Amino acid sequence: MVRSLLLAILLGAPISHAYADLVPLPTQPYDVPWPTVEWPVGALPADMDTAAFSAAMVDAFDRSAPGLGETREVVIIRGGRLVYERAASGYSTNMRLVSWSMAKSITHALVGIAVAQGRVNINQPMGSPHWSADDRRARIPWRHWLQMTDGQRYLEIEAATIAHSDASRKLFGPGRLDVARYCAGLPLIHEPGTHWNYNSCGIVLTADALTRAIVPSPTSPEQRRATMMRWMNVSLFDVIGMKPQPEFDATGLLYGSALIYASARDFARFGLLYLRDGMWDGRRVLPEGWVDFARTPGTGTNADIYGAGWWLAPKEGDGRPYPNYVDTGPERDGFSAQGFEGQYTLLVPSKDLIIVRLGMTPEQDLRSGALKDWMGRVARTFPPVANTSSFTTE
Amino acid sequence: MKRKWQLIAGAGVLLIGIGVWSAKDTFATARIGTAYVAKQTCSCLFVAGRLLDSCNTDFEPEALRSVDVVTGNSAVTVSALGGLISSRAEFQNGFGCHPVN
Repeated sequence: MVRSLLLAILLGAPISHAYADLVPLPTQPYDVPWPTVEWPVGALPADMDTAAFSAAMVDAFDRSAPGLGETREVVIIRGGRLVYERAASGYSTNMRLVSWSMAKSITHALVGIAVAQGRVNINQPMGSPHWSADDRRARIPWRHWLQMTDGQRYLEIEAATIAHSDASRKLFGPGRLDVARYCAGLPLIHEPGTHWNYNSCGIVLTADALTRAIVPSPTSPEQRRATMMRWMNVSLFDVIGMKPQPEFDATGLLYGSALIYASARDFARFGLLYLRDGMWDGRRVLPEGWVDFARTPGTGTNADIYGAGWWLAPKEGDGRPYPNYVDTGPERDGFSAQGFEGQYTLLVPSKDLIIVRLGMTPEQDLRSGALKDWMGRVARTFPPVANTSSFTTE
Repeated sequence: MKRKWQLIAGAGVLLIGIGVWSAKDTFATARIGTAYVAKQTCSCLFVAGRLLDSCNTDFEPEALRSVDVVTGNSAVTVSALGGLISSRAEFQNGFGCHPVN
């Protein structure tokens, strides 16, 4: 109850049972060191389905199963320990690879840290210097942008060609030199908070607003990105021992929606921060309730597969409008960072499990659903753990 | 006779319109494609530390056949359509790569 109250105060929401159904997040076992420097190593659980697990890894790394594409790095964390890792020839689990849209989950964390520092209130309008004060878009709160219920017209998944996709147009087409300006130009087509639509531009605008909160008066693109990079390192990356390379556009803007390079081991560190409810080695990094905000659906139509910056398991069925649901078991508690071409950081609280998969799966293969099914297969080989009933956050 | 020339002129305008429309899409696609290959190859080489042959596996082989890729110490330039469209991405230590034109 205290947790719900704190969350309601923090997020400005009416007290409700919206978070009551969430599987509790497992705490770090007392005898397992935090992986700030090195990952503690453990064994695969004796009671898991070893044969199915081995077969799944053969399918991925031998490329013997259709639709999986090329798997380059896999890291699996159970109970806070690294229990499995493998890299394809020419790669290692310490090699930084592209996040694509898994960066959105990192941006969610960065906004949370800014909330904790008193720099951002997600119930306040986020705004953009590209909009006038009477522009309706200027009144949309941070919350709706993070949940992708902002109502902006953004076309990516259904785009007929790359020339018509806002994803490619913003990063590599007309928006490539000033991504925020391109994104701010997209019109509103739904009342905010009433309809979910995948919107990378919303996260670009969020990164832009966050950067303004951290660097309110930049003197140059170089100073803007250097200050932002320093803040990210001090506030998040150094704390959890992650050494990623976020990228910035020509205006010094953190892209935020994509283009963070990190190793599978580092994505697993980031995953552990969320699986441990925003705590790291005795320190609260993310605000109380921030992870529950991430794994709770927004409001409106089509909002059952996405929380805030993270993909969810829908309460029932395969989810609308995209079948991104990873079936990790009957608890339906898996939530994941997902990126273009098959990047995954999957967290399963009931199993105290993190699965990171980096690779290159072509779009037509992703549409077959084979890779998300493979992620689910791997997760289901692990049994639930017993110690997920604690809400302890220290 | 006059009607015949009107029809021919109308057909000509239509064909030119279709041509311009097609070219617009072709140029837009070429711009996006070259910028994409330049930026991602730059990051692959200088951020991930992979070799160019490995980086090339990140793209469809057909896509690479239609572009020319030139790599430098800290930049990648990719051109298409006989050099009509050219995109460059630069690496800056500590900040990764981004398109510069």
